[in-house]
Amino acid sequence: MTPEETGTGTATETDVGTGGGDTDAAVVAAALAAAATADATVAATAGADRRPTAELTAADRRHDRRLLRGELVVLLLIALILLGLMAVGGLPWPF
Amino acid sequence: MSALLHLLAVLVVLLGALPLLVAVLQFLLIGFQRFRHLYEDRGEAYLPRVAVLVPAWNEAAVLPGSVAGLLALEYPPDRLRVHVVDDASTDETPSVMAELVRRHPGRVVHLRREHGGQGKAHTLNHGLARVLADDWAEAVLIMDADVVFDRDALRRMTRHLADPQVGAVTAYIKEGSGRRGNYLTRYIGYEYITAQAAARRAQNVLGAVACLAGGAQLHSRANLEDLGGRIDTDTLAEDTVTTFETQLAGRRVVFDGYATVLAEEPGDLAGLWKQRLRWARGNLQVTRRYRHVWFRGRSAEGRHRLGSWLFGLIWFTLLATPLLLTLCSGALLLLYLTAPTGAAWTLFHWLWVTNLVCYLLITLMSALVDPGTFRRCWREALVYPGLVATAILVVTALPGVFLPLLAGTGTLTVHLVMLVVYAWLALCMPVAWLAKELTGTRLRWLAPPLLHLAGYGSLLAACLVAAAFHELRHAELAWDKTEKTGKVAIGS
Repeated sequence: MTPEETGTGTATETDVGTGGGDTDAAVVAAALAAAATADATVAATAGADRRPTAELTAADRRHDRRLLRGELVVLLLIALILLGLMAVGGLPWPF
Repeated sequence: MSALLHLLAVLVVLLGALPLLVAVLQFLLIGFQRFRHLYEDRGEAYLPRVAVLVPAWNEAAVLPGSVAGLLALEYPPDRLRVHVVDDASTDETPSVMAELVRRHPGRVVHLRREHGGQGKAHTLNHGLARVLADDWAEAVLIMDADVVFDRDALRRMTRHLADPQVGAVTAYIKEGSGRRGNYLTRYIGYEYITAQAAARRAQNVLGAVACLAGGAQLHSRANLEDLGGRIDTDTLAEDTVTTFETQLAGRRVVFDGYATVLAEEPGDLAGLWKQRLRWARGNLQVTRRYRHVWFRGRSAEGRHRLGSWLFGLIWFTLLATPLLLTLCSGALLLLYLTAPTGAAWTLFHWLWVTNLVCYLLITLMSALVDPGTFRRCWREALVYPGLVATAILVVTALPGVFLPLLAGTGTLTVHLVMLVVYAWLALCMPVAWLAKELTGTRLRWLAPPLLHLAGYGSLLAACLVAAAFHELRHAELAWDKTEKTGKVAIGS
């Protein structure tokens, strides 16, 4: 592992370019605080709602099947709309 | 006016329907993903060691959230390392990274380029050289600093790499500003349902994927090594080039619409234009670069389907849409002004009825594909073609109701209205461009209503025209970074 990879890089690698005004510093401080909150939330909920990959895959397959059925319903609905418009004389032949 | 010219005009109008027909075809294909067996059951979950590469230039505001999101992924901690490739940032990025590295030793790595500014591809190559230097990484996730992955997104993506034929996987990038967004981010949110969640599902069915989203692409190590271990640096569309090269090398690219990623998108027209100009120029460059691939049928070895007629038709129709619509409008005006028997109206009526079918199919299918985003963007979805085009759709669907009302306004008004509506397919593009131009002026308040009138799609078409002009005059290939504020966060 290089020094960078172990997170112990030299000052040149990690501690340069710290320019920026108070506003930037405030933004960064707020972002880091938010990240800390996120870390804590993650630690508290780790594993709580984790679903096995096989379960995810089964859910995705079900959704794919629902999408196909939904597509058929959508096509039927569009056909009905076109028939309705044709009935009131809105569409040219053959609609 | 000769009959031949009239016939030519009729053919041009029919050609103007091509973008609509191609869109209908794509949306019809969506449901067939069910038969593509993308999620083969291979027993145990496949969880390779993943090196995440995050290119960053002045991203101090967004990096803490992004890194926290990555570390929160439902993925074995010992199989995930985050490498932030800092492209010589001049903001607080180094100090932010130092803090993140301190908090997460061994899991977060800061790689800094001292001389940057060459663009994302160069930055990625710096990181790729490092992560491929040893054999730890079995897969590499390339992402943007501002994106936030759903917690199960990476597991959904890695499952495809269990098949060695799959070289890369891309996720569904969703506009992530949520309730903090504005009308433009909602347009983008809807656009991404149609252009990503829907269109890329269709590409899965066709077996040829056009683009790995730059913000979320997972590669097998073998694929990256076959590509020379580096990303193309010659174009503005390095992600599309990677996508094509992967498939040309005989590996599959998969879009996983259930692996979702939130991204921050431009909240103003000027930022959006800058971003899309870059994308459109990149696509034109890719079109030229792979001229030996288009419409060649399946490759001789049957290794990829980029040369299929259907894929080529979709790609080129998208690129030619501004030209086709302009020619179509011209032909309609020609017929209206010179043909004696109402041919213009008949063709126009057919064209817009086709448009109505296309509009209904796209809108309803989008609601099915991503109901959550659609609930947030439904108003923008309804007026996506623009208020004028939506009004034309309604009038042409019920001409018996509206045309008598129009006739009552007098002959001159009727002629003027008909001229505008026949010309609208072309006219909407300069109107959308004008909306963008007004954003930097005192009349900026006019930009949103103008965009609503012209339609979001018209803005993208206008951008494509601008991109073509930029390419023709070989304008400088500048890497214009989109401003990010870090408003996308976990749970937004």
